[in-house]
Amino acid sequence: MPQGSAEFGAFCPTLRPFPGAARYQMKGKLKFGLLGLVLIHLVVLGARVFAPYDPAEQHRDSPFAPPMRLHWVDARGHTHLRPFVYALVYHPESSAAVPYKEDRNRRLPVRFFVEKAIAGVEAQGAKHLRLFGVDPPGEIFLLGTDDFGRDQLSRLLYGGQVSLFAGLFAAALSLGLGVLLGSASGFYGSWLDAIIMRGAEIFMALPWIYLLFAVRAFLPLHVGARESFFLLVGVIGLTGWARPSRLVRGVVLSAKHREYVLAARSFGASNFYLLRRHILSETYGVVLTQAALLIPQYILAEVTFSFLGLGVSEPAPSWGNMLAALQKLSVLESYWWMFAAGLVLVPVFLFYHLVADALQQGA
Amino acid sequence: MASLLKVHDLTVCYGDRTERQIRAVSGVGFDLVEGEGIGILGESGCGKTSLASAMLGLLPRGGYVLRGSAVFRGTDLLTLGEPGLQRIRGAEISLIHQEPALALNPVLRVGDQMAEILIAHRRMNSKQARNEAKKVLEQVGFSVDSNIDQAFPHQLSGGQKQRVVIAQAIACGPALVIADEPVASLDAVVQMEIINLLQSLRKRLNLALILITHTPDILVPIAQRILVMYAGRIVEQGPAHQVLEAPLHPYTQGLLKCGLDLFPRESSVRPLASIPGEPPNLAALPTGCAFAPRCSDRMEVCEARAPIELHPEKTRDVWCFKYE
Repeated sequence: MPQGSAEFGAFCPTLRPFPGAARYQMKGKLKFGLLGLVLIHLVVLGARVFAPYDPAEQHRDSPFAPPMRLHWVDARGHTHLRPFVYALVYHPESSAAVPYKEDRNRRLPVRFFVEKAIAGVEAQGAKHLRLFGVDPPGEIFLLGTDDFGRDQLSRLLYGGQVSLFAGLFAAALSLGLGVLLGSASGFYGSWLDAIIMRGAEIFMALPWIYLLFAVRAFLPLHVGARESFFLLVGVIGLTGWARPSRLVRGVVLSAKHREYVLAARSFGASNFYLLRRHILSETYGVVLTQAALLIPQYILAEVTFSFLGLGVSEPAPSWGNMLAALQKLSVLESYWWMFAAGLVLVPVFLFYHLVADALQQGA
Repeated sequence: MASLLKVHDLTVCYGDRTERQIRAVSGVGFDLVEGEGIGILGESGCGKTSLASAMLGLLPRGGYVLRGSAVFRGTDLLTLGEPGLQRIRGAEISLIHQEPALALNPVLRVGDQMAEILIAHRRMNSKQARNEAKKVLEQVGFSVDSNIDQAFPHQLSGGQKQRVVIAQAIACGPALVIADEPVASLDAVVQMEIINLLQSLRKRLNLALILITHTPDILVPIAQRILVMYAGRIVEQGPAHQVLEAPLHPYTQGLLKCGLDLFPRESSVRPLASIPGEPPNLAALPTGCAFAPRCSDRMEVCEARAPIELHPEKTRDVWCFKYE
C-alpha cells in the first residue's frame, strides 16, 4: 500500500478524543468564565461589606503605606489561629523608598464582621457591618495606601463599581442601539438602510477620544461623580453602536428571506411581529458574543478616560483615576502596589474573553 | 353557490416600470365559488406562484401588479393595502408554501407556531390558543396523545411538517386555501396522503382550494376545474376530468403525455415523451401565441397574432387557433 499512511494523515488532520468534545470544552469555558465574572461583580457590588474602609477615608499619617502582610506566627514563635497584622510605623526621615517598618510589638488581630462607623459628617456616626477590620486605633491596609493614606483595597472595590458597570451599561447602550438600528436597516432596507449605514460609517470613523474631549469642553469644569459616570457611559455607548449594528444588519438580511418568515407573513404576521419573533431571535448569538467583546473594551475606555482626568473625578474612586497616580514618575518607581487597579483588569478581561470565545464556538 | 373570488385581467410584472419589464402573469382571470377546488397546472416559471403571491400582496421585491383585480367577498385584494391584507392572510385566505421543511421556524415548538396565528387573528390568550392548536392538529390527523405540539420541527418527518403547515393554514377557519406545490418535496406515498387530507378537509370545512402544481396526477382527487397556464397566460380551462382526459390545447396535451405510466400495458408502451424547446423568455414574448415555437400543430396565424378565447365545448375555454 504505497503512501497509504500519508493519505490517512491527510484525511484526518485533527482527531478528537471523543465526539462532542469541542462542545464539552465550550461549555466548560463558558461556565468557568461566567463563574469568575459573577464572583468579581458580586465582590465589587458588596464593596460596602467587603471593603474595610470608605473609599474617601483618609489616613494622613500613613501616605503610601505598603501592603501589610497577614501573619499567623508572631515574633516570639507563637502560632495564632486568628491572623494578624503588625502596625506600621512611619519614618519620614528615613532614606528608604518606602519609609515604613512593621512594629513587632503591636500585634493587630483581624476581627471579622465588625461594626464600623461611616466616615463623613453626613453619616452622623451611623455604623454598618464590614467583613473584617482591626480594633481602633489600629489600621489595616492589605493593599497599601495612596498619597492621602486612603486604603487601596477599599478604593479598588468601590472603584470597580464605577469601572465594571460603566463598561456594562455602555455595552448595553450601544448593543441596544445597534440592534435597533441594525435590524431596522436590514429589515426595511432601501433609503433607511442607506441612511443608517452611512451614519454607522461616520461613527466608525470618529476618533472618539477627541469626541469626549469636545463633549467635556462644553460642560462645567467640575462635574459630580454621578454625572461624569453617566456622561462617560453615554459617550462610549453612543459612539459604539456602529459595529454591532452592522453585524445585526447582516444577520437580519439573511434571516428575513427565510421561508418560514415568508410563511408567517402569509399567515398574517405584521412586519414588526416578524422582526420581533422570527428574525431577532437569530441575532442573539451575535449580540451575546459582541457583548462579551465590547464590555472589556468599554471598561478599558472608562479606565483610559479617568486616567486622563476626563472621567469620574476624585474623591470618588475608579480604576482609571487610581491609576492616574502613576503619572508621577516617583510613584511609578517606588510604590508597586499602586498598579493594583491595572492588575485587576487582567482577570476581568480574561474572563470576558473566555466567555466570548465559548459563545463564538457555540454560535 | 356564492362567488368567493373573482380574478379579472390580473397582470404581474417584475423589473422597472418602463422597458425590460418581465410579465410573469398577463391577463389572468377566473372565478371561484365557495367550497370549490381548482387546480392550476403548468411548468416551472409559467407564473403560477406569482399569481398566488400577487393575490395576497406577497410578491417579492421588484414585483408589482400592473393591472387587474382580485375581488374576494366584495373587496379588491389588490388595492387593499398592507394592514387590510394582514387581517385577511391566514384568517380568510391562507397560502401554503412549497417547502414544508422550511416553512416552520426551527427554534420554536410546533404548538407555539400554531398558537401565534390564532392569537393574531382570533384575539385568544396564549392558553386558549394552545388548546385550540391541539384541536386543529387533531383535525389534520395527529392523534391526541402524540404531543405533537411540544415537538420541534426537526423532530418531524416531511409529511408531518406539511400536515402541521396545513393545520396552520386552516387554524382560523379560512374560506380559501391556496396551496403552492404542497407536495413537490415529498415522496409519492406521502404525496397522496397529503392530497387526500386536503380533499377531506375541503369537504369537511367547505374550503375553497386553489392547488398549484406541475403534476397533473395530484389534481385528480381535488380539482373540479383545471386552469392550465403557459408563459403567464391561461391557455385552457375547463372541468377537471375533461381537461385531463381530453385536453384541447397542444400544450396541455404535451404536458399530460409527459406523465409516466408506471405499469403500461404492452400495447401502450411508448418512449417517454417531452415537449421540445423551453418556456419562452418572459421579457421578450413573441407577438403571437407564446407556445407557437414549441407547438407541433403550429399554423401561420399562430405567429401573427395572439389567440383569442374559444369555446369548442360549452363548459370549456381554450386559447388556440386550432378550434377557430
